[in-house]
Amino acid sequence: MSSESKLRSKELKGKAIALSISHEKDQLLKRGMGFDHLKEMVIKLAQPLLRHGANIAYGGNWDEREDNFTYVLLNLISAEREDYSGAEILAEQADSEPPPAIGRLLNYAAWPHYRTITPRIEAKWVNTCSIIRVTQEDAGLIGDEIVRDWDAPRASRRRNFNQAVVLSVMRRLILEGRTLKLGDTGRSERIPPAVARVLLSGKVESYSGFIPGIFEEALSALRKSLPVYILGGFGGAAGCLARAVLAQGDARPDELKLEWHEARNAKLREMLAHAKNFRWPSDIQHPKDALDDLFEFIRKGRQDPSAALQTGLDGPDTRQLLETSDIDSATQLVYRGLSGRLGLQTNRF
Amino acid sequence: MDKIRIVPIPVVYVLWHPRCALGEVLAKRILRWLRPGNGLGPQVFYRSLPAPDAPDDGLPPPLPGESRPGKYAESAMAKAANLQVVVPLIDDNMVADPVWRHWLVALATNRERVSRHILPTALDPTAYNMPSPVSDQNYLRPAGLPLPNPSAIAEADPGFALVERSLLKQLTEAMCRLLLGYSRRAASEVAAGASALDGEAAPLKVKVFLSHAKADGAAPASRLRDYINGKTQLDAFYDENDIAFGSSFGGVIQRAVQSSETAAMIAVRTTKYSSRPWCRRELSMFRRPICVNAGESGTAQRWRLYPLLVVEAMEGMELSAGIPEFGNSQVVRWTDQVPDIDEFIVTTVIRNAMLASFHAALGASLQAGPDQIVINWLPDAATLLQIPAVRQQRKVEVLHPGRRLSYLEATTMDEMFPTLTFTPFERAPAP
Repeated sequence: MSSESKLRSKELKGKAIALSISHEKDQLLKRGMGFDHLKEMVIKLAQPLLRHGANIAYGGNWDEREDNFTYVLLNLISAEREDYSGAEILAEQADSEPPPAIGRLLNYAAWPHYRTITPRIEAKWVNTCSIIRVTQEDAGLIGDEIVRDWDAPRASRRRNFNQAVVLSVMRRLILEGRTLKLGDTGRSERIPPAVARVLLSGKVESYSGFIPGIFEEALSALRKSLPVYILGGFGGAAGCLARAVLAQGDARPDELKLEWHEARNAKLREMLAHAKNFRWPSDIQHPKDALDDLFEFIRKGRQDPSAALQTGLDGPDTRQLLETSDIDSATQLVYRGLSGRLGLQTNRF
Repeated sequence: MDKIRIVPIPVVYVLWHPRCALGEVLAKRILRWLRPGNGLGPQVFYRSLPAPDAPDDGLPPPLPGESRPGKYAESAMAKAANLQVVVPLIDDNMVADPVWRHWLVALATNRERVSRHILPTALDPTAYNMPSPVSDQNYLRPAGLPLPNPSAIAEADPGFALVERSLLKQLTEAMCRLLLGYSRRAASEVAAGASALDGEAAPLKVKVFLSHAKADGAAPASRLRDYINGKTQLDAFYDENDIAFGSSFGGVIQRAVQSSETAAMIAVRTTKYSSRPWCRRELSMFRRPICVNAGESGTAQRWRLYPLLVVEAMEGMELSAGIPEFGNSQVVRWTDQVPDIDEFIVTTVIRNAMLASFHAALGASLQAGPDQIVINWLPDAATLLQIPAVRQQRKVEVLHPGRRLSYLEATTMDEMFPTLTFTPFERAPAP
C-alpha cells in the first residue's frame, strides 16, 4: 500500500509558486506568535509544493541571520533532496521508476543585494537553488544612470532610486520568468514564471522600494490575473491588504495613500523629492500611481474577493484565508485554492 | 470546567512583559524544546506586546475563554486542545505594572470557561510579590538569575545557558507531572466526579525506570538514579532500592514496568546488557504497546507506548549484539566529560514522556474507524509487530504523530508491512 509520506507527483514540475514573506517581529508578537511559527508555516506551505515538483520563487537576500527565510527554504529543499536521493537509490535497486524530482528555490536577487553573493555561497547551494540576478540594466537603467558596483555601498540619491527601480522590476520579473544565457556556450537556462503568489507578513514602513514590497507583488499579480493568496492574519503589509479587501464600500485605507507613507518613511520622502531629477524607466510607476492602481483593484474586488484574487475558493473560504491566524487553516486553504486554480489531480497536499 | 474530555491536550502560552529583556529569548527556547521538530509536541503561543488594536500600554490578545471587555475578538483555541498551560515569566516589570498584575490574577481566578493551569516562573525575587492566587503557587525558579546584564545577553553565554537549562528542566517536570498525573487521575478520581483537568489538584508523581546490567557495574545508572531522586520532582525505579529483600524479583519488575506510574525508561546499554535475561525481559515488557481501548467495537484501536531513551555506555573496543527492542528510540552517548549529562538525559526522557502523553491524548481525539489504528509514537518495525492487526497482515491505516515519514522510512515500512499505510495525525480527520 502506498503511504501518505510517499506522496509525490510531477503535476507542478516546471512551474513556480512565488512566496513573499519576511519576519516582522512586532507585528507577529502582537498576535501571539514569533519567528518559529512563521517558519513552521513556510515549511508546511513549501514542502508539499516541492514534493509535487514545483519551484519556489523567493526574492530574499543572503544575510546570515537566523530569521532569514532564504536559508529556511534552502535547508528545507536540501533535506527534501537528500531524502529524494535515498529514494532514487531504492528505486535503482528495485529496478523501478524513481520518484518525481523535488523542486528548487528560484532566488531572485536584486541589485545591489546580489553583490554579497559569493562564489562559495553559490557553490554551496548550487543543487538546490538557481540565483537570478536582476541588474540595473535589466530594470531599464542606462549609461550614466548606472551606479558602479564599487559605489553601491555608499548611500546616495541615485543609488536609493536605482535600488527601488530594480526591486520593482524584480517583483514583476518573478511573474514573467527569465532566460539565463550561459556565456557563449549557446545554451541557456529557462527560469519559469510564477503561476501564483502567496503573500504573508511584510514591512509596511521602513521599506527600501517605492511602496511596500508585498503591495508591489500583489499589484503585479493582480495585473496578470494570477491567483493571489493574501494571508492577512499574521499582520504586516499582507494584513493591511487583507483588511483593505474586506472593507466595505469605497473607503480607502491610509496605508494605500502615498501621503501616509511619506509621513512615516523619511527615506521614501527624500527619494521622491529628488526623483524628479531622474529619468524613470518606462515601465516603472510613480508610487502614487501604483497605490492608486492597487486600490482600484481592491475597491473593485470587494464585491467578490474570490474572483478578484483568483483564489479558487468560495467567498467564506477566501474571507477566512484573509483573516485567519491559524497556520493549519491557512495552509489548507492555500492548497485547496491552488488545486482548483491549477487544475491539479492531486488534491492531497 | 470541561468535564467531558478527561485526557489533557495542552496548549502552552508563554507570557512576558514587553520590557522584560529575557522574555522573548526564553519563550523561543520553550517553544523549541516543547516542539522538537517534524510537527511533534503541543502548540506554544506567546503573549507580550499589546494586541494589534490595543493601546500602547494595553494587554496582549486575550487567551481563549477569557472574557475581556472591549473590542477584542476571542482567540481561537488550538485545535483539539482542552487545557491551557500558562507560563508567566515574572520579572519586576510585570509585578510593577498594575495592568499585568490584574491580568494574571484574572487568568488564575477565572477558569469557568476553560481548563487552565498556571506555572508562574520567577525571573526576579520580586516575582513573589504578585498578588494571590498567583503567589500561592509553587513557582518555577530557574537557577543562575539574576544575569549581570540581561539586556545584552548572548544566547551562547554560559550564564544564560544555565538559566535556560534550569527553566526547561523545571518546566518539563511540571508539564510531565501535569499530563501524566492527570491521565492517571482520570482513571480513578474522575469516575468519582472529579475532573482530570482540575487545575487546583496537585498532579501525581511520575517514575522513570532505570534498566541496567549490574554485571557491568552500577555507573552510570546509579548516577542517574541519584540525580532523579535528589534533584527532580520525579521518582526513579532502581532495582537495588526498589525490590524489597525477600520479594519476587520478576513480580516486582513486572509491576513496575507495567505500572501507570512509570512514564519512561532509561536503558543503560553496557557490554553485557544485551545478554542479561532480566534486562531483556524488562525492556521487552516496557516496549510492548498497550491497547488503551481494548473491547471497544466499531472504532479504531488506540495503542500507547511509553518512551525509551538508550544511554550508550559501552567502553571502547568492546563488542555487543544489537537489540531489536530498541527500535527507533533515541540514543545518547554517556560521557564523564560533560558535567551535566545526567540532567540532560533525564530532562530529555521526561520531555519525551510528556510528548508521548500528549500524542496519546491527541490520537484519542481523532475520528478513526475500525480499519485504522492510532499510535502515539513514530512507527518502527519492532513495536508495530506487537500489534495483532499488524501481525495478522490486515489492511489498516496507521495514524501516527508528527508530519510525514521521510520517503526512505516510508519505503522501508512499505516493504516490511505491505498491508499498512501510514498517515500523520495532521492529515487525519480532525475531531
